[in-house]
Amino acid sequence: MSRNRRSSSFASAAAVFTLFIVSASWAQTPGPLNAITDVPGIEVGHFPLPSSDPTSPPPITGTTVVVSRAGAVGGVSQRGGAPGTRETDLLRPENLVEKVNAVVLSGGSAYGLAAADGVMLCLEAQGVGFPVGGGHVVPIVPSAILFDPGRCATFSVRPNASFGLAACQAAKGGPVQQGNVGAGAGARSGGSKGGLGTASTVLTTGASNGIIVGAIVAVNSSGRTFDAQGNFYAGFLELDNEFPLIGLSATDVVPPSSLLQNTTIAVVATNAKLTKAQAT
Amino acid sequence: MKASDVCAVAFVVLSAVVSPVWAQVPGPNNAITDVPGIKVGHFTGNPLTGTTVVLAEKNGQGVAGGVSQRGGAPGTRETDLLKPENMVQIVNAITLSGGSAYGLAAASGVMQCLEGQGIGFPVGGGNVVPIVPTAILFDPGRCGAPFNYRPNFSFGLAACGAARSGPVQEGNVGAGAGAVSGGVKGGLGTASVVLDKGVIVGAIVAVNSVGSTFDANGNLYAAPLELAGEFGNLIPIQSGPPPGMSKPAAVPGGLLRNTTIAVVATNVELTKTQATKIAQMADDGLARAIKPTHTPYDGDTVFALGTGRISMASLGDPAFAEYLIGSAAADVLSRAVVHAILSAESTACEKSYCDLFPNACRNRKKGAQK
Repeated sequence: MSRNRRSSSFASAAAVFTLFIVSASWAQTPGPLNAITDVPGIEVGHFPLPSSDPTSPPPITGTTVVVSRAGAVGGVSQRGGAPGTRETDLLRPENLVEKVNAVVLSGGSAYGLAAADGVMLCLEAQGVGFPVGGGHVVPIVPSAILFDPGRCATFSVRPNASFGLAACQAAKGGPVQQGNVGAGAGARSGGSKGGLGTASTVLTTGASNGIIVGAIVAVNSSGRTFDAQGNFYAGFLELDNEFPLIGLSATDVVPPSSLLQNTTIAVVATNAKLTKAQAT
Repeated sequence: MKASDVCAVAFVVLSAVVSPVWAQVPGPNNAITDVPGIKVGHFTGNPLTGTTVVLAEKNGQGVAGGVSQRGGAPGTRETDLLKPENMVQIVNAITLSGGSAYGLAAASGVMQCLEGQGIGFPVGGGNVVPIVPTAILFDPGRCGAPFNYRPNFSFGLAACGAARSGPVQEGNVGAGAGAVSGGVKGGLGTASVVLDKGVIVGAIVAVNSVGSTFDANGNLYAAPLELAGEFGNLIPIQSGPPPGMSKPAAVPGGLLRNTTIAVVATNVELTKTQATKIAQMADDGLARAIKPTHTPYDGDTVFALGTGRISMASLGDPAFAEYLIGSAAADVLSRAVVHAILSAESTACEKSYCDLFPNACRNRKKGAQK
């Protein structure tokens, strides 16, 4: 695989994709931020962020935008059985448009697809998008939503175009806030609070040296992330003591899983130069 | 068996399959609204662009839907959930809109309109999430219009609010308002057919194609599919195109500037899988009426809906019924393309087909077929 540090590639809602690239035979360390923004050219914005005022209620839904102003080759894996999506058809390798300007992850069920409208307006104002002549652009903004409406709030509270606009305007490189923010604000996962998480890895062996892979995910799954003893299924993938956890005692109560009205949505990115087919 | 017997058997089988087994006449409105459970609403902007909404219901619930997305530059929402293996089995509305990908915002207005009526996929607590797959076409900035004038939330809300059964306006309206097609004005068209056993198939299409709907002489490719004089006695054109006619630009103005989007519907009860097959077969109707189609520069997308008034079981072998409905859907969609082109009106920037070929259209009484 050739490398081009100035370009980056997306794959959204993918799980298996990264595991194929990141073989255990390659030495790995997290990037400096342990965030998807370790991939050059990738910026992240959330709306809303938790208030600094501890007395104000936490956000109950929100939007997260992953931006590549220069455009990044994109692909998608849509495997869940109850999706809500925009612009995934154009990601098919045979279709014309090669580059994605942003991926929107949002709460609000299908209503939350409106957040992408705000992201498009934000990027258009910056001249970011697919050029269509006359100096005009159409920003390419694939999106996926998760179900969170009506949790601890009225059903009509959900992300709209203004959420996308604000998240896009807040997008920047650097550290990424995790937990009850953006698309993860209202998330639940297998009977406990879900949220927004990010991570990265830097490959340091041989031909792969210098490849960076990052991920960001809003976890709102019907399934659990931990077993009947409360241990994380993915705990063994820890790098550099990034999960400072202590084992559970036998008396800790593990909550039951919930059914229906879920969805986990994610973006992975790398600085390796990919074709659309490879990103897919 | 002798070779001649084999041929005879093959002939009988072929004629049983290929010939129009079911008599075909247009429905009373020759529109997709002839399918019970289907309503259509347009909202047309000024300058010309717009949104068309197709509502679908059975007993107040949504109906099965499928999609065929073959064009190379699509702009879509909620097509993933139409995959047969996915959970949601119903569609409440389809949005067709101008505005390129910006026009996907119209679907949010349609969702609000339907939620206000309690229409959608139930998610508990009396709440609903309307299921509104959507496709857009490229029309922004045409004919001197500001590039940032395009369908938004309010277009979808208004089009949904205007939806009704009965006759459907064609031409420079709704999603077809700003459309162009192979060097002439494109537009919005609809058609229907009534088959035996009460089966009805309808189509609606916004024709905004790179490809042309007529040959080098100006004859419409789909003209032979005419039913009951619906095209108004078009005169075949014997000579070449009129002087000064500009051939369609190979790639008009650059890239990503076109797209034909459509909905076909039937009153037969379909599964999502069957609706997907009907959408695929209907898509061939675009290929017969527009040349070329499904190009890298078109986001051609065809949705199919089954409103469930007639059970598939009542039609005998379901695969054969699917075959007949899909065949009819392709022809109806081709005819809807012709209606779009004949109903389109010239603008300051594009001539209509009938203004470009007045001889072909000279017997045609405007609106006579509807």
